[in-house]
Amino acid sequence: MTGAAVAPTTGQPGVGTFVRLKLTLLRNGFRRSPWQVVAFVLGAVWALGIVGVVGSGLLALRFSGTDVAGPVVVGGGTLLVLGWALVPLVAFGVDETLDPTRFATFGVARRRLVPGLLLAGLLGLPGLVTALLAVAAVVTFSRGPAATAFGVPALAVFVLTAVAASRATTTAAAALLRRRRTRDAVAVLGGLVLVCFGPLFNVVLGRAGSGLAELADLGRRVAGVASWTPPGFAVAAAADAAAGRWGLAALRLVLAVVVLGLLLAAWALALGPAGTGPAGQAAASAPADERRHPVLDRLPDTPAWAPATAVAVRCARYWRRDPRYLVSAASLVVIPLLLVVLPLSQGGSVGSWPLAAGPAIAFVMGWSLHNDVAYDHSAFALHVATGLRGRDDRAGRVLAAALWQLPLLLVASVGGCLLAGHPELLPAVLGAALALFGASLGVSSVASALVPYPAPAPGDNPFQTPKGASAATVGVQFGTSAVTTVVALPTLVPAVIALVGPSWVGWIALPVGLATGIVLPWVGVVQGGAVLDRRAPEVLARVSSS
Amino acid sequence: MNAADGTLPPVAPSGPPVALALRGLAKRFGPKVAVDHLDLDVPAGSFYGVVGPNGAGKTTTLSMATGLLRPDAGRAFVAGADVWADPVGAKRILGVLPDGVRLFDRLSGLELVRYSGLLRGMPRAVVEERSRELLDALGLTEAGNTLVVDYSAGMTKKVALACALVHAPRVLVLDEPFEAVDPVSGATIRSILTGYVGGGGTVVLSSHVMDLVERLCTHVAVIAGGRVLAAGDLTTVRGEGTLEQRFVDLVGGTRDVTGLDWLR
Repeated sequence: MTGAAVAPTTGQPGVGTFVRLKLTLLRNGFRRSPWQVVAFVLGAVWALGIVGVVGSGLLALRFSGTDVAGPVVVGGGTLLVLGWALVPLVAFGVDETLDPTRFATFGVARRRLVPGLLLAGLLGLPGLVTALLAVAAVVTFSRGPAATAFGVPALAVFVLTAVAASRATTTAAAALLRRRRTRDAVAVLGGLVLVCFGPLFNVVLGRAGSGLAELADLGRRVAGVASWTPPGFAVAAAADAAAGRWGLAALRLVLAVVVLGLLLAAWALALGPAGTGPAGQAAASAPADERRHPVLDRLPDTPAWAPATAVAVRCARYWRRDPRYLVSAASLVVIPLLLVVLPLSQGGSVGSWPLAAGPAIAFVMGWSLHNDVAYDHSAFALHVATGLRGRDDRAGRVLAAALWQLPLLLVASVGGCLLAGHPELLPAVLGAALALFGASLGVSSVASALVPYPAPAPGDNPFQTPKGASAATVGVQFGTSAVTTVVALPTLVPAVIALVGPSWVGWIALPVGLATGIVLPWVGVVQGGAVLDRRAPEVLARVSSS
Repeated sequence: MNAADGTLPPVAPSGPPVALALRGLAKRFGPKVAVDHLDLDVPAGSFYGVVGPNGAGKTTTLSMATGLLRPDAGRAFVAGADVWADPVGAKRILGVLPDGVRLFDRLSGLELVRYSGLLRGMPRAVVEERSRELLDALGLTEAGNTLVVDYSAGMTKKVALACALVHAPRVLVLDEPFEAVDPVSGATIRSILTGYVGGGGTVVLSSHVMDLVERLCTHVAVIAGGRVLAAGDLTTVRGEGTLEQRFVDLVGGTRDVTGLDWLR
């Protein structure tokens, strides 16, 4: 009634509120689906395994000298913090149960939000594993009461730094990606960095790892550097204390606390006022390119062809315009590179590795379609509502992919044979590539109708993974790869014989591969189309669920 | 329909032809019953409004009626064609604007409308002409070459409507067509739909806005708890008062808000 009553209550939630919220969300997740419980239990078993192995190693290090225990633990700890900071950017995504943007409307002050989300971020398997390992590390460094007492706060800072680093990097990245065009570009770049990371890592290892003794020496040197880097300060402080270097320990602990503070500040900054993110601008609209397709626009305009062609044209546009497709396309370039760079980095010559380029990209290209419907997300409703025949849907997707992938396959196969200096193996390599391409396209055509699983939605934060998808994801990915290999065996067997034995056997692989490459996509389109005709609503429900 | 389905009532008993007939549609999500053996007849040539409170089962019902969501039980007929037994036949004469569904938004508006025509196997020239006309009528000509992902919510709704109209369906099922649409565009859509019904088409739309349904529709069904509480032509359903009063009576009446003193 009175004006005073309108004044809002000014209280701010405490840290406990966020922790309770996270626990409630976890519990409700379990209640929603028994599979989440199963996934959690499996994850927990796996996590306990890690804690058991690494933890007992840490406990054992208690009885070795600090000159051994120090570098090992500091190196491992630094890697762990780096893992927290970087892995969510490229792989599993950050646990989105407490997405800061959801607090935007509540007007929670940042200085409340940040510590709350930080502690809540600890609740979860990765947080739990890190905390338990930190406890074990305290034991490792318990070389006297003073060192033990010093180790507890140092490793607490270590654990918090790890969690804060993951939140800071993902929030900052997500904030940067608010604009669609930036987001598109970064998603593509990030994907490329990810696919290049493996080979680069291998090159570094290949250069360094010539002997075990050198490796240990290298480890010590790396740990020495790591202990002076931000992710290493906290653990290094505990190690210094254990070794009795108290001055250094105090210095590093101060630095570690500063790093933690900076991380939290950066995180808060990236969150923007009340978790809304920095002021975003409306995406600049650019006209879509009205390029005509050299092949698809020449296909006959009859009712039998038109729907499949329309799907193919749409898919071809998506291959050009959607960052998720662009990443998948760009990563193909990396495979042949990998096959050349890897052997070179091991110090040897290129050898016969490039022979695998054609078959390898053939497999990856066809296989990349195995969850294609999920990339449509609920937009797939248009295909269902228009009563599009399943086989037209399948055929369009296969056509769009094959039109640009087939030339790539030929180039990679021929180039690989020439680079390896084995032109006489071209029939075998080409046969294997065609067979794998056809087999993977065929298997994908059936799989994406039969067992679709949630994929990142179009335009979503690419660093978030759909919840409850991982177990099914791995199962389907393994299954489709296995089936593809099996149905390509009739070609792969003669191709391999040609490789290790008489090369004329390749002339058997080529026609068999060509036949496989034509028949299997056709079978896949027809069979997958029949599945889709039966199950289109179920597929729609499944791919819309993320 | 064969003799084995004796438990189901006949589709069109007599009288005017039925554009959309729902028979015993049922759907549950886990323990929650979303739609509870719902029956509904939409006469051909009617402008049919489906109203109901949040969570009444409107979207679920319309999804099952249009072949997007498989019902646990029951059937749906579009001009006599069974949506679930003869989906191709039913979908050919059906235009759908689903709610809460993404579009292929990396296509431009023009490409998207064209795409939905081509998916239905229409000749390219016809699709081209109609797409441009539709975008023109809906005021999207200038945005025709902009990617749909960059559209506002209202523009997205309009381009989705164009997609539902491009094949000149005989029955149009629209889930919340006026949501997020500005008054000017709303008036445009209304006149397009009125003209469509005037030409013999049938429109079924769901809405929260009683005023709009009252102004626009010839028939109305009130749905709550997954059941039809009242259905028929507008004057019969609303009786003496306004549709809003009737709706509130049917759905459970306004609760006199007590408490909340601190809010005043």
